[in-house]
Amino acid sequence: MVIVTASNLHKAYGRTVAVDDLSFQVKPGQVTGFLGPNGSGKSTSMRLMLGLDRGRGVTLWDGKPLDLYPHAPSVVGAHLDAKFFHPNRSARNHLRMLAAASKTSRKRVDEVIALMGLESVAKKKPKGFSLGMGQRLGLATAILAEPAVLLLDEPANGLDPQSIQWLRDYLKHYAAEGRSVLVSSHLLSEMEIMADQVIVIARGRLLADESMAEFKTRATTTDVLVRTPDLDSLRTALVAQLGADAVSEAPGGFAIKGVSTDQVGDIAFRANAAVQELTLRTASLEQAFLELTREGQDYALGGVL
Amino acid sequence: MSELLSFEWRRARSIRTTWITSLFTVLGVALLAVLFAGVSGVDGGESLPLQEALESVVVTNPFTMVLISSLAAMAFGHEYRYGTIRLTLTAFPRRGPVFFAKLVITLLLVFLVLAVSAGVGYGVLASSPMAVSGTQSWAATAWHVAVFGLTFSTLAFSLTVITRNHPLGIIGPLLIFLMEMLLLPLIAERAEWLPKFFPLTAMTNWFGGGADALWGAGVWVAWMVALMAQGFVLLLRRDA
Repeated sequence: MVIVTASNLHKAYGRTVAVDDLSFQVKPGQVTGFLGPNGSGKSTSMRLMLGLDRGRGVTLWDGKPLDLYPHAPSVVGAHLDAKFFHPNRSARNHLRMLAAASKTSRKRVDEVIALMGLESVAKKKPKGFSLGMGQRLGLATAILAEPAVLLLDEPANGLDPQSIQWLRDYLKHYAAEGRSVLVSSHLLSEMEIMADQVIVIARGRLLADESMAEFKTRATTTDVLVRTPDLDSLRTALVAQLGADAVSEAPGGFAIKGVSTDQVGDIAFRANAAVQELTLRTASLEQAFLELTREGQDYALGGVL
Repeated sequence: MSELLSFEWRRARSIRTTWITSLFTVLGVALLAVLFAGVSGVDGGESLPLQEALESVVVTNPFTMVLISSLAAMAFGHEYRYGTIRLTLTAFPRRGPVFFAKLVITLLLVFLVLAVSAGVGYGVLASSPMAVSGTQSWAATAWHVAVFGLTFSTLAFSLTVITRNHPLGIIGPLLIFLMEMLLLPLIAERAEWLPKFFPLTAMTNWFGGGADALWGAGVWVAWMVALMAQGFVLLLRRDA
């Protein structure tokens, strides 16, 4: 079991700071989601962790830098891009080449090819691979030596829904065997199901590092929407019972925080106010993520025309 | 280190470009040897000194220079071009051994190809009725072929690491060769001492013996070491 400790990672390109004093841990036995808007520094952070990019800070893999391990492929397997292969080297030869780096058997190469559903294209040149097939080959390279830690950058991009479900189950199973998995993704709904721990960054800075349950509880908000034609009488009753801070205006009624629909129904009934809609609204993980990273978005889109 | 060498060897031999370039080198040398053998003796002319002719068809021609450079540039050229350098450096985080493993496998490959090419070239040249023993010894010929191979491999290998540009790594050594040929007549009139500092001129002076041989050897070694060191340091310092 390997605990990955990234400390004070920092990377700047000229005056632009891509990763700013970022520290976190990736623990074994769980899938850690790595979230952030485009350009927030997720990929750069992963490259810094692996020593591929030169910057400040240190990443320790069970207390040691990666280059002190005589056999790094058994410590970490990484998948950073779906196009990292020679276009004319067959998928099988690509994996056999990397197997030579880790003294992995040919049997294991064939196992991984089968696991990734690449048998029919194993002898083909990957230059014609779709994004999804490239992702599968990249995942195959990452898991080839059965490393203690997996680092995956947007591995679900381009995968079909069945493959995404497979990936989710596989990574959860992989982590359940006591290994560490750090996976970045923009598919928040997938992260919500897959990740046990979540690290959120924006503009290279850490915004959250907590369990997914804590993140959802802290970041998501719940309120009750009530629509009524008797606005004045219901407002008076709600403010009297719950306080002015809990009640805010909403189209055709009010949004009330910190109460149940039953409570709002009772208050409306006692105020003799007709109720046209009574809805419990819970913000999704996506809303929570957007709320948390709103200020840290470097490449925000314009409005919808 | 054995895993790294095994990885590098598999990397080199698992792409068709390596085999095609090697085959083209051997065939090209054979073709040049046929041309040499065919030209000698025309109109009852000169004989064919084997050692000198072999040196010309195996190394001292632009065709072989480009193909040797192509083989040497692949070590890092393909890695940067297709992003696989990140896979390599994830598997082998210590960059120094990666550099030397690539160099060892590159030189091994180049010398294997040159040895086969020299064998084929000799076979063709020796079969000519005009073939005679040259003034140069076979040991000197073998030494010259080896140094030429090493020079162009080193230039291509280093230029590719330094520039991270595969095509430049291939044509760079040829450009240096052509520049020296074009610049030398211009420079020689005004600054006679300057050409002695050019890498290929220094090599030629070294081979030519005489007073400039030691100086030539020194300048040649300095160029090769400086380029290698530059490539090595940049590999260590830069983002992959």
